[in-house]
Amino acid sequence: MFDKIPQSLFENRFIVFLESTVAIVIVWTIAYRTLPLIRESFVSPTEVAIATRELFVSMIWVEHFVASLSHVFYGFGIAVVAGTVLGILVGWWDFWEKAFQDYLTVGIAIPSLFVAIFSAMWFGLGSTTPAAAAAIVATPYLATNVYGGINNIDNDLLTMARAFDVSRFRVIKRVIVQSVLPDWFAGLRYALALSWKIASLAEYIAAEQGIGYMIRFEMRVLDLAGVLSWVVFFTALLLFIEYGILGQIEKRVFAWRQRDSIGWV
Amino acid sequence: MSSRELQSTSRESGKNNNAGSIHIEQLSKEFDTAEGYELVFDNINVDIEPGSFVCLLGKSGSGKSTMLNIVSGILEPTSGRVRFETADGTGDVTLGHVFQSPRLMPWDSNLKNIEFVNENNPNYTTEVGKKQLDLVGLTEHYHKYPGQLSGGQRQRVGIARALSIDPEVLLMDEPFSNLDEITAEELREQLLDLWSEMNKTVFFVTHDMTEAIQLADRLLMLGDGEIYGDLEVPIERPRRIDSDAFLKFRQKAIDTFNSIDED
Repeated sequence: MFDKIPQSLFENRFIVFLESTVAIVIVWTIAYRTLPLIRESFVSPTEVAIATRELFVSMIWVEHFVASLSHVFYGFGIAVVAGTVLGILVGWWDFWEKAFQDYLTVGIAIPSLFVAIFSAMWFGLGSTTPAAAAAIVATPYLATNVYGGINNIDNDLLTMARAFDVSRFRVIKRVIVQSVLPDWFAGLRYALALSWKIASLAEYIAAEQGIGYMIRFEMRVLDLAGVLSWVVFFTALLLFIEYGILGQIEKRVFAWRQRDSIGWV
Repeated sequence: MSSRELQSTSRESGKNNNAGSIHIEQLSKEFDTAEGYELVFDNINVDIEPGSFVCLLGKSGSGKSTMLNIVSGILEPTSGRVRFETADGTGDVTLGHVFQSPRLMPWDSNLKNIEFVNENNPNYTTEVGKKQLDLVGLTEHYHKYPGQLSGGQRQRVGIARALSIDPEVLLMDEPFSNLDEITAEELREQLLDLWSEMNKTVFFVTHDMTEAIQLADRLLMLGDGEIYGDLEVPIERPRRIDSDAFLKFRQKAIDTFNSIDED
């Protein structure tokens, strides 16, 4: 019986994601209609869909989306530079490893909420707070990934290059950078997702614009459908960045990994 | 003068197809360990003729890979030196290396892996790289990644890479020890074909006596810090491992190999 069902329904990642989304909406709708407790305290998928449509049509989102984007752009940008440099220092030289490795561990362990509050107290109300919070949280993650990537460089490849008298510049370009690139890129993806989350949290606490700020605004007027409409927007944005941009870059840059199996044609 | 300085490269000055000779002179190596200095070998003297195929045998930890690494310039000797001679008398020799694992960069195609080591080779072109892959039977695999190949095919790329720089001396460190016996046998035959066509000096490290006798003109046995066995292989090529001559010589070689335990 199951032989007649197209395999793509179970194998294609995008289709399976859509199926799970539809399933969640169906369960949500049934729960809303059958359970009084849910109906009294929550909103229906239809209400959220209407609120999302209104938000989209009103174009209010553009101003806040651009604001959030700029917060993330600056915060993530700082994290990319600082995290990469720090990761290289800690990964390559023993002295810097001893000096900074524990800071990286502490940086990863510190709760994001604490960083958001700390940034708000330091920088006050405005755009600097979400950008700074994003940078502080994302930097140690990226640095740790670069550090791990450098530690995982295949020493056999370096020995091979030395045996064949390959120049240092060529070894850096063709062996070292290529070895670290997958870890750097994985760190980049994670740091970007973190930057969005922490920037939104900081906007919620101390900003006058941005998606986080608007979620706080909707909460103040107790508009749960409004809050969820921003969450839907936020989720759609993250999925677009993940699959539409980063996923495509990864496909091109790391083609060798996807083809890394016997029998691939 | 270090062995590295001595080996240098002739890639810059154009190529020749002559094999080089290797002269290991009063070579000693010791490592600085937590327990003090550990002597690996002492006062080794070996001359390897141009165009010959020499196997270095030894038990685990005997220092055979250390010696190969010194010959290749990856390691510095504690004392002594390695000298090369070429037909033009310059001593500028190009060394090709084949390692136990192929050491290919997984992010580059097979052709790019070959191109990587030809940075200073003015004679290298993409066609040269393709020709080397043709020679090892990988015509259909120029643009594939190493991850798409079997273990034997990867090792073939490693051999093609070493040959692409047109070396006078080929250094091989147990290149077939990680392969299944059928694949290893195929590669041994292919290596012998290439060697007979290309006039290269081959210095081959192995712990496999049968492999050594199949391949080599001469067997060197390293143990207790010295070369304690040095045997010419008196068997005509092609060699059959089940022939009487092969089995008889193999027994003699094994007796010599084990003689160090009896002392």
